[in-house]
Amino acid sequence: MTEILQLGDKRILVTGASSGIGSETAKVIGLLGGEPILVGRDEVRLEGVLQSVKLSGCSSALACVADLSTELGIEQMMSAINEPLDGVVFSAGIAKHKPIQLSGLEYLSEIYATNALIPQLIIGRLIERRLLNSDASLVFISSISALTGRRGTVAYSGSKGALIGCVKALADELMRRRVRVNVISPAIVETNIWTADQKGFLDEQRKSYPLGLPTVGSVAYTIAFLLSRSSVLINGQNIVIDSGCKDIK
Amino acid sequence: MLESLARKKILFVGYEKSFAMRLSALLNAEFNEVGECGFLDPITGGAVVHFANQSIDLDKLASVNKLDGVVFQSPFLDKYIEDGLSDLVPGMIEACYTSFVGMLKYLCSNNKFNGPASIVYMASLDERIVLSKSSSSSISIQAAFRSHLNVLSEYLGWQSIRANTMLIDPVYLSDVHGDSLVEALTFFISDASAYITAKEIVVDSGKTLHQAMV
Repeated sequence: MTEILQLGDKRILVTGASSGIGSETAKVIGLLGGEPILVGRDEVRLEGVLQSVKLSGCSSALACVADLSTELGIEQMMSAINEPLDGVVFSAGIAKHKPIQLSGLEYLSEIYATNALIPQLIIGRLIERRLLNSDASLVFISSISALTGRRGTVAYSGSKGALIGCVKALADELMRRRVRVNVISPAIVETNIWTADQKGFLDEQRKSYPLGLPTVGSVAYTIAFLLSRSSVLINGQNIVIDSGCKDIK
Repeated sequence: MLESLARKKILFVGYEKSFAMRLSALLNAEFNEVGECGFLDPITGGAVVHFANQSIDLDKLASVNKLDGVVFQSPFLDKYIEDGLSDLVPGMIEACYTSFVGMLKYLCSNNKFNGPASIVYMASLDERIVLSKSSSSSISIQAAFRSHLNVLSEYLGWQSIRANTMLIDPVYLSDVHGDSLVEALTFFISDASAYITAKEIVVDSGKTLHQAMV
């Protein structure tokens, strides 16, 4: 069979790689022949993901411990990139929820900075320092929350919605460099971040999802598709992964 | 998730035989023509039916079972009705809407799907951009089937069947770009897209980013 969805030798930076969608994406990139550079704050967890990627046969994977909420952390990450990249997955993010009347400037700034501003800052630095190859693919992780309304998620939803708008403009801006930019918006995903006492919530959610709750693996493969040449005709798009659920809670 | 693609059985309903053959090549399946339709079956389990004319004979599908996917390809990708009041319009409605819906009903009501399955409608991007009033009928007919799939998606979803539309810039149907298009299509057939349904995916390299969608 003609090989599809191959990432042969593509160097791909993955932020937020120590858990959830980020760690799974790093593993899938390794499985498909890519060379992931894992970035995360938690050194122990990041090392665990790195070993897992290497065990799957990707000996060239690298890890960089960095807190991207700080200027120092961003520079540490930039220093770890010694060759131009073929792709970036912006998986680092935070999901905190509060009613609007309790949302102070510090809280709002933290959420918007982590989820929407820092990814833009990083892209600017990568371009400025010529660290993105022509034909590179950038993938942002938004959320179904950007497209639906749910109380208590104003800041989170706003920050994820900002990503979708940002991707449209970036795709146009970077097109002349032959860099593609896309975003995915997953609904509730089965990952290891859910605790045992949230099982009841997840079971309840499953009743609303005709195709079942999306798995973290399927999200990672969608990201891999957008990183690969197989999606070369797809640019500036938001791929929603919601199993056809019409009533996201 | 993609390794299992070669074992999938896919029905191809459309008018671009070369495209169906490229898809079958990607799936490493054989393409055989049977009567008016090309029918691919085979060793690998892949199946492609290509309808060369506008009338779809559902009897030809009697022996087709356990499908993993169906690809509907709109003839409007390369054929337009310039005059929205043309005598051709009713025929095209029959070809691209009534027949497709009829086939969908046949497949669902005769249990032709093998559990989880993927339906992909390959439509023209022109549906989303008002180019001129002369393409109004093509746009409307395509939108009708797309909407039909989207509305049905919840019903289909509970049967583990997903349905998506690829809105394709017709320029990418050429041989130069065709393989890229086939690869994108392959993703939406594969298990990797198992939780994506009722979506429209624009396939235009970002060409229409500045244009307001209708």
